[in-house]
Amino acid sequence: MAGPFPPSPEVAASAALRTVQDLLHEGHAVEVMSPLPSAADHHGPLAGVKGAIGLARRARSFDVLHLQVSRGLLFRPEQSQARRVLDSALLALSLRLWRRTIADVGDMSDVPGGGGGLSGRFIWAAIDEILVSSEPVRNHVTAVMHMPPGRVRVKPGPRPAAVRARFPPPADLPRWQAQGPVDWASLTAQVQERAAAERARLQGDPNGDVEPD
Amino acid sequence: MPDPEPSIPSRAKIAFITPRFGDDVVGGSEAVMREAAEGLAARGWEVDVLTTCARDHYTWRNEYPAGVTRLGNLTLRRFPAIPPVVEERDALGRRILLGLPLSYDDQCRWINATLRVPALFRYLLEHAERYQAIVVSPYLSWITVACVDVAPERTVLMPCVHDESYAHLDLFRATLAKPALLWFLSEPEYEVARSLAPLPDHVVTGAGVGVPKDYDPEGFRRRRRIDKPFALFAGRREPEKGWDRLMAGFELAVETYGLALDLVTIGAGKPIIPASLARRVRDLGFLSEAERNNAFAAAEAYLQPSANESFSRTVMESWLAGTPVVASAQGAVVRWHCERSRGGLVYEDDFELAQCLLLVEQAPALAKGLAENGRAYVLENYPWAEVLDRMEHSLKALL
Repeated sequence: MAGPFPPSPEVAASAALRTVQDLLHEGHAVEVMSPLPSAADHHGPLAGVKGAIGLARRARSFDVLHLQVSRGLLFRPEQSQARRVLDSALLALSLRLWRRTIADVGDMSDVPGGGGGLSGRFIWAAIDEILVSSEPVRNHVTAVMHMPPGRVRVKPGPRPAAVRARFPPPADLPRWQAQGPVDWASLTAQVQERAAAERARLQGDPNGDVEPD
Repeated sequence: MPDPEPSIPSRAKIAFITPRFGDDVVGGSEAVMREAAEGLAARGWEVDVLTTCARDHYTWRNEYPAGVTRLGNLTLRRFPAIPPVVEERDALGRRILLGLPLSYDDQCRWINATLRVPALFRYLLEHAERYQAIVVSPYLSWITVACVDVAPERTVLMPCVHDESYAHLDLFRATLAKPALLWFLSEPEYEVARSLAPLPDHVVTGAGVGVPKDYDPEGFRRRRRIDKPFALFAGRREPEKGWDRLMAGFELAVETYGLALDLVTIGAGKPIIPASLARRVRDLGFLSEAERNNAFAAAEAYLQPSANESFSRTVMESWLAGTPVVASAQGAVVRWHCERSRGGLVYEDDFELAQCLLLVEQAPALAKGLAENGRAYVLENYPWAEVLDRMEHSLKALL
């Protein structure tokens, strides 16, 4: 799994976590790499030349690469067009070294330019399967990104949230209580009065009644 | 040690996840987590403790060996910590402490620059289904922020939150809102949390305080060569815990009013003591639990200058030892304890602190009377058996 992982500001991090949980549940051995330090097993660049080299190095150690596409992963729109094309070509070469690659693009909101253009063409051609969040996104991916429909799959919706148990009020437990004699209030008042007098004596009364020594 | 209460073993399995765990680990949240874990294990719950190999919360150096050990009724699983990226953590941390705005991206960068324990997270990811409940604490920890996402529907967060700059980050607002259940140590802590985030179900469990069988104040004085009356401060001697303000107020009491009480302090690390007080403040360093209790009993008063407390176990320990408490009024929780129990005096500034100390010195019988109120309050509200009842009652709803 390559992508953002909690704790992360990326919405895609939650999707990556759920995917990893599902894969573990199915009995797969999973390692996670995130672009920034996180709860993932490893972290390192997942875009540009460094990202391409890092992914290429790991290609033969795993059966599948699952990419959780997010801001700054695969694409770097802040770069010049020439640089973007070069980076994407290198990244595509490295992705092709993997036995199988799956990219989860969600609703495409983290894919710059709607996934079109030369950079996109390089990358998508190197991906075996694309996961999307809905049928309209699937239509977009097949039309704009030229992915064969058989390689684009709509992900099942998020698992229903587990019902949170509510518990009855602990009526059988004793109430919080406090007790004590009356001299506490008197002692507290004495402390405050003496301190006020000393504060005025040493610092001057804020109302100007008493001058400092 | 909490007193186990005989009850029907439930056989349910719980994970307690805490950043540090060990006999020589100092920390309020860590102490409550440990004793709650031990107490529930003694009641028949199967309890795993997931923690790091670190002992020191400054360096987070891995000092304990990683792996699984059995400790009484507990299974202890230690995972190596990745120490903080100090420069990045401190640069972003300074902005937080100054109240400067920090984007959510930067908040995540900051928490990921603190201690990280991916191996613990990985273990939880793979084994979360073994646990019917997962208890995490405190809120201000990478471990909590990360682990609360794994199985939120079975997660109990004991935040130990107080009103500090960190607590106002969006990152923690989200963390407080995610778990199935929150355990608070006091009503004021709940009020703070409620002002920060929409909260799930909660219980004010309080925290249990073990009652020592006996005290040896004379032996403590003899062993430590202390022949003058003293006030005590126990804990982290840091500005965030009110240490600097305490030094200023104590100096005022000594210099202006001729206070004869010395100040004895105990805890890990080396405190910064102003040169003017070098002969009046004595640091005894880290003490065993029994010797700490003796120190509480030997003191004329216990000083709690920290505004950042979610329970303040040391205040309870002081009262149990029959020693009055003098505490900063800035701390909502300790002020609440003092007012409810009528067992402690609170001060707003250095002048009031000085007068409190003079009262302790000049009217010790009155001060001891306050401590009696405090002891009755602790015995009535914070025996472990009742705290564990509250915890169990809420946990059973998660099963």
